[in-house]
Amino acid sequence: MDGESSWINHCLDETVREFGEFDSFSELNDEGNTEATAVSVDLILPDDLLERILAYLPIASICRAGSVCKRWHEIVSSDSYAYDPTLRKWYGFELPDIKPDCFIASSCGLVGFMDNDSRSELYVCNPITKRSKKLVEPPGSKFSDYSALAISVDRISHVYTITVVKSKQVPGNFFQWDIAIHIYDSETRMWTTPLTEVFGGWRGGDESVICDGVLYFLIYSTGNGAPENRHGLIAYNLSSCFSHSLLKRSFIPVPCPLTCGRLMNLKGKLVMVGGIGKQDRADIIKGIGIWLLNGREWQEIARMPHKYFQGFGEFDDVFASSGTDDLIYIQSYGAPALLVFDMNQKQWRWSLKCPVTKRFPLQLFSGFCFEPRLEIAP
Amino acid sequence: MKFCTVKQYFDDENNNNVTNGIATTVIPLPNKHLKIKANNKEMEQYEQELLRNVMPQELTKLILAANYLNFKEALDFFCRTVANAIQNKSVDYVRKFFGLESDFEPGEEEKLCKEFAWSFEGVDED
Repeated sequence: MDGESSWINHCLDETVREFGEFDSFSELNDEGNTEATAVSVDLILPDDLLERILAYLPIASICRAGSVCKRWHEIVSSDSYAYDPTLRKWYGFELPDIKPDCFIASSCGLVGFMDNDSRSELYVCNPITKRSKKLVEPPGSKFSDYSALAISVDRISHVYTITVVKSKQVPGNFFQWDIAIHIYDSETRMWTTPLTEVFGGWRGGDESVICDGVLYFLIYSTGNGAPENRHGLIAYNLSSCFSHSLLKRSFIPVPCPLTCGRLMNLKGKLVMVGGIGKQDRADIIKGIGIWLLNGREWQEIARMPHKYFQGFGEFDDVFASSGTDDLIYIQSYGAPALLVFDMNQKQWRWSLKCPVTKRFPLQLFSGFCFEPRLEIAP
Repeated sequence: MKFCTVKQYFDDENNNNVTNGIATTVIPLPNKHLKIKANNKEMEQYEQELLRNVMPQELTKLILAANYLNFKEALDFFCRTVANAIQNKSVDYVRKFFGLESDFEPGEEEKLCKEFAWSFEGVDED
């Protein structure tokens, strides 16, 4: 390293001696111009260099760049393009094929939608390129009582996995529930059902996420257990070989009585945002906490300060929350206000006011996180 | 060794790829880099100076020169500078910056504007 820098200095000194001191760029400019007329320089940037420049732009600028001319449009639309955007504005997005009130899961540029009626219509799309694909229906009962949707995209191969955890009450038995895990592989384009099991005293819900090859989903007590046992977590390794005793093998208790739990994948780790319930009345929310799962242990990361909790106004015992990378978003269903927690800086702040306004009292709002990527296709 | 091409450049008299003027902008850069590598503020100021004093065409030449000289840091720096110059600017501004003209068929451009309408919100005034 030392050798290199001394060679550089030697080389630079020589240059400076040859061309004289050039500290001012305007001087340099004049020199440059007169030289340029004498020597022809191809001023058209080759595609790869143009791509380099565009890669530094936020996504909106990249999309607009496609309108500059045909060549730029080609480059922006080509599949081999990749970038790293910083989105700091609200945009009015038009999402393809989305029906209101459907299940949404996202991972690395792709968003999966599952309809809320039959819970069998599944679409995967890239909201930026607007390419979408309807998937073949998952197997199992068409009308399950509860369904949880999750998607995971492999960043290198772009192959994606979708899981649907279906729960159906065993007829005539409130206590027992049929649980089935269905997995879709985008490479084989096929569904497999590695596990079906009857849970006693627990049912599945609609909260699930895949982190690092493990499917996590929340389960809810159907018995009269203590408040801290109202919720539970199942951690199912997607490459598992076992096909039974899921409840026994993979159950992880939650850290405290929860009113609701929201699961998300933050940099490959499972994070849960939970409404903290009162000890004697677990259906009343008294705070919101954030926990990280380390192995089978929960680590408390933060609790929402009271002033933010109050800032939501009416706060139900259930709320929406999602996150990606270092940021967690929390939102009351009753209003489009969005609270952000930065995992890195351990800071809470309100996001910029969303342009959506509440038009009538019972209007509900919900959002989801996704990572805009141009190069991933469903 | 990243300065192989630089040495080669000086040895090669008939080099049309990089004008002398451009080389003198690119070559002092590593010296500056070494001096102020850890100092982001100074690099930002350097970038502002560059944008103020150097015409867009010159920036393009700088990029080509840095690419030819196989000088990754300078290439990344100039590309980022250009990106910052055109970020959030209108399509017309970007065209003027690069000296380009629209070659779309009539109606094609409108179609794109409609399709990506969301990305045209809040763009800087020209």
